[in-house]
Amino acid sequence: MINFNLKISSVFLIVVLFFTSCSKDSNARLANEQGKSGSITRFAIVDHYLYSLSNNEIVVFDITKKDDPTKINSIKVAYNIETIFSYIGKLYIGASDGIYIIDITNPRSPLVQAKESHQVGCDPVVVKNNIAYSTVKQGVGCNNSFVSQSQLLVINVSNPNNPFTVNSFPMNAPQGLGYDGNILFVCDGASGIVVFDITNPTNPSQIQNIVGVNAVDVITDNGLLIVSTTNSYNFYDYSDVNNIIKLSQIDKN
Amino acid sequence: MHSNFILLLTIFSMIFISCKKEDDFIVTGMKPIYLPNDSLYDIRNIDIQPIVNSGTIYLWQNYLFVNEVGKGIHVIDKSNPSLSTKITFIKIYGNKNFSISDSTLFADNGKDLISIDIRDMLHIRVLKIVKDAIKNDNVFPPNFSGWFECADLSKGIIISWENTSLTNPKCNKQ
Repeated sequence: MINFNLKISSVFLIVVLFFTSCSKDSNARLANEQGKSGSITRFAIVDHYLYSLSNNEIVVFDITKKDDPTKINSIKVAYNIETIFSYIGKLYIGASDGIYIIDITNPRSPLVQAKESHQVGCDPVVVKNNIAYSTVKQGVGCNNSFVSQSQLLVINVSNPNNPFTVNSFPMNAPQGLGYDGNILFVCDGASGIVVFDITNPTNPSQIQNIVGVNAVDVITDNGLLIVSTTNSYNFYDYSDVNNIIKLSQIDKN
Repeated sequence: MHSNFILLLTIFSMIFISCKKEDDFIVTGMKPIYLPNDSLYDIRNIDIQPIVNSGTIYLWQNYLFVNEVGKGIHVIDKSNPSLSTKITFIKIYGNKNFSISDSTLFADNGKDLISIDIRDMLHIRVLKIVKDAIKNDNVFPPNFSGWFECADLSKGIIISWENTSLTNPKCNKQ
């Protein structure tokens, strides 16, 4: 059994090495050159394509030639689409009443696969493996609709044709969110940033709460957390998640 | 002659005022602020700006990009995160959304897609403008319900909305 495992591991390692070496000068470089967005965004780049939310559509641009990007397609989704997140061959679009899952196996022709419906509210979404994390905010939503309870939703998206909510956590005023490995950061308005351990992906457990900021959106970057708040941009070191240290702050105005 | 003129003017003003009072519907609401189309493509580095009404955030290499809604992008150097500082502002009227790949910034201005070479962050260079490729024209005032002056996109793109007194507005958002 051990031998067998060893063999599998070596084969895996060889395959990984092979892929790493041969993709170095094209896609890998491109991927490294790409940046990282906060969760509240309407643009997503996947390889040589830019997907942009445009009113009720996704517009696809071929950006192979930087000095000559071209619009190649547009696909109707819905008027209330707000945010876009790309993850392994799929686009996840946060709308004011749910999440659309879009297949981009053919990157030039996105295909709307399914819609997970939930109560109405602004809702950025991030995805890790087969689990999507999304926030809905109480009060007046994107379309002046009313949301009764703010929540962090945990949604199983393993079958992209049939996503379903598996867990939810009450929040105060959640907005943007982001993860790094097993740590999920959720901006919760005046309640700051709630930090969850998502080792058990469907059952996040709260481990920290960064208070004293009115948090809007986050970007994680290998131990560096960037937070936009209602009145500043804050940088934190989270390499020790039990001891998150504030590094600097740029104030508005 | 002179006093007659003043008398006439007074009568006319009174008629005008009374008409206005009876017929005009005056209400507080929102009015679009347009950017004339000819200033739309003045895209360049300018001095660092105050962050006032910020939007999307984006990290690329040692820089944090922060959208200033409708005006452009603040560039913050975070190579030393303990001393993060603004280094330039990329002026793009109408901008809300952007993304970066291969040292190229792709940004919108509410209607066009613009590709910009950012290899030299302090001397950016517009590569291409794909005109009328995107529509995020916010013809409705955001997070608002009530009367507003209907948008007329032939006047240019809408960069913001201001709260003001409106006479006979025809648009209403529930």
